[in-house]
Amino acid sequence: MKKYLRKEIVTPLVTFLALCLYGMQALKLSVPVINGIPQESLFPLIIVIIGGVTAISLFVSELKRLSSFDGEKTEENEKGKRAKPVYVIFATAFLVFFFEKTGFFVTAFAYVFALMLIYDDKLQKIPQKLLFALLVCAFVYVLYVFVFDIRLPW
Amino acid sequence: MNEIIQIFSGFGQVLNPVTLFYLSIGFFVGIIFGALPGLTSMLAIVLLLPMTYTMPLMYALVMCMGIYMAGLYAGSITAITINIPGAPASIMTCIEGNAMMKKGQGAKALGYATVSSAIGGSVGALLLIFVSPLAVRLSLLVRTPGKFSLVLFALVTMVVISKDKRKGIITMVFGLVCSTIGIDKLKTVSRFTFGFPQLIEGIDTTTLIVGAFAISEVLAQSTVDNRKYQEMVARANGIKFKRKDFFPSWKEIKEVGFLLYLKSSLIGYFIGVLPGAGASMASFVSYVEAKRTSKHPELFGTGMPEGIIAPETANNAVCGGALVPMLSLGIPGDGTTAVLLGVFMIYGIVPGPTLLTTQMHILAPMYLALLISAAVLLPLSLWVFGPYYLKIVRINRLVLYSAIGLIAILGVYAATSSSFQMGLALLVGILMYYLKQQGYPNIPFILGVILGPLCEQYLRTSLTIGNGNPLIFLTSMDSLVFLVLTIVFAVWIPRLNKKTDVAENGTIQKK
Repeated sequence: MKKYLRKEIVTPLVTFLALCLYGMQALKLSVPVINGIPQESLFPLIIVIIGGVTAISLFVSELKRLSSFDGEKTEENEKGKRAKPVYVIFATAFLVFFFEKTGFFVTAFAYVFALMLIYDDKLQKIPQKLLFALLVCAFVYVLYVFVFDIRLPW
Repeated sequence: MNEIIQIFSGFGQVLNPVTLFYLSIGFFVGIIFGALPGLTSMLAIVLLLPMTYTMPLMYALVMCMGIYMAGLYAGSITAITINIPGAPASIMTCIEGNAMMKKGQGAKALGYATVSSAIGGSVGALLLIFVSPLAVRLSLLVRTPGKFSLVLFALVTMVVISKDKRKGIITMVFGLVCSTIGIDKLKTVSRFTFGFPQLIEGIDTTTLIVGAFAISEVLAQSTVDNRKYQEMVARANGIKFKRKDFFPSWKEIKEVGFLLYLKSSLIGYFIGVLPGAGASMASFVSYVEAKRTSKHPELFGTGMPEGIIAPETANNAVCGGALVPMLSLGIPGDGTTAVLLGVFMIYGIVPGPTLLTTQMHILAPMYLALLISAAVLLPLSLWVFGPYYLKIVRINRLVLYSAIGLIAILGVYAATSSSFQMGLALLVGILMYYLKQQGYPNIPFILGVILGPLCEQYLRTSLTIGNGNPLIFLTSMDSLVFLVLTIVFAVWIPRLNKKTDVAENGTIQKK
């Protein structure tokens, strides 16, 4: 059962469901054509048809491919690799959420330092990383504010 | 002829010290991003995109041209020296380039790549200057139904070039969906905002481009094996070149013959003109052609200079070719030109038939910047910086990617002044990273984003003209031509693509 929850199967299925939701929203806008004049829902509905058929076709062929495939072992091996992108996502979400509240220097410094820790294999050379994080922030600030005249919150 | 004279009169603007400064910045950024495996010139332009908001468009375009040309050349540096192509278009260069490197002729191989890139880039840029006025005149003949079929042609070719066409369609559909969010420009009603007032104006192009290319790459880089990367750096550190070793002798140049340079330039240029074909295909086709016409085809794979010259000439000639459909029709020829189209759109300029007449003062320096950045490849790489190029891979990876992450996400804020759009960029980045992990290509996504609004506008206008009858696309001659072309390409490109894949897989297996 677990192998049917693999991302190769889930992705086209979720895409199809998302397109159905999008299609329903499109139908709420208007009918596709009134008196020979195309309306705002026509193009979205064409997208839904093309995407929906493709997603279903992909789902069926992935199902066929996986029916004779032992996927559980591979899933286990991939677990370790998956953690780092998740940490990057959390670090970026932290930056996005606090950027306007706490300003550039605090969030950007914390973000760059966090990324350096995530990209490295071990927790090592912390003072060097702190220094590099500070330099990167200073460089980016100068680049945006002084070179390209773009305002950033403090 | 008048347009060509106008283009060349732009030399005064491009030789201005400020313009040359921006061109040099673009050139070196392109060299760095092209030489580092995993980074591409397209990503460099993506990171630059938000910064162009406060910059005069001419400088932004000149800088982009430097990045584009230098990025395609620099892919050959690591392809030859450590057998890892810095850019996908340099994969064919690995075959002969690394074989020469193993024979102790690495510097000479880099010399051949530099001379070829400079010649290919210059010929491509010259052809762009001479051909684009003609392309603009032809594009004036295309009416609304024809424009729809042309956009369809670009979207279909971009999908058929994908390794898995269905995955290409899915990412393109995501791009098209994103393009429909916000106000419908033909009826001024808001669509698909799902209760978020911030979505009424739609999702900013910069948000989508940065999310799809930069944030997804920042996520992908976190899974890179640092040990393997250090091994690569150690290999690169062990290589040392002397300046005099770069120059192929006159006898060696004559042995190869100038016809190969010319032929590969033409192949690269014309493949560049085709939407979706791109530099990788140009490299492959010219390599195969060089092997076919060589006096010693049996020696290919053992370090033949022709096998470096052909792909490197062709992939740089692509730059000029890919700009033709983008500037004259608003149809990008590859991923980089799709992002360049985004630069134009930020300034409210829609590329198309009237662009060359209304914005010549901006385009002339851009054309010439492409020519100059191709021409300066030769002296800068052979005489000045060549021996130091390999030091680029020594740049601290942790610092580099952390800086890219920060520049990317701040770029969205700089473009939109909105944390909401930053959040959307993160969501798009996660989505594209997740899809890329499963072999979904990201270029159709951005084509969907950029061409989606045009496709919808032309479709609805054409159907309105034809009273809702879709036969208008068959009865209109220009539209019919593009529909036939779409079918021809849908059959021909997958065949050519299959051959490219076989060759690329062969190269990877050899490694």
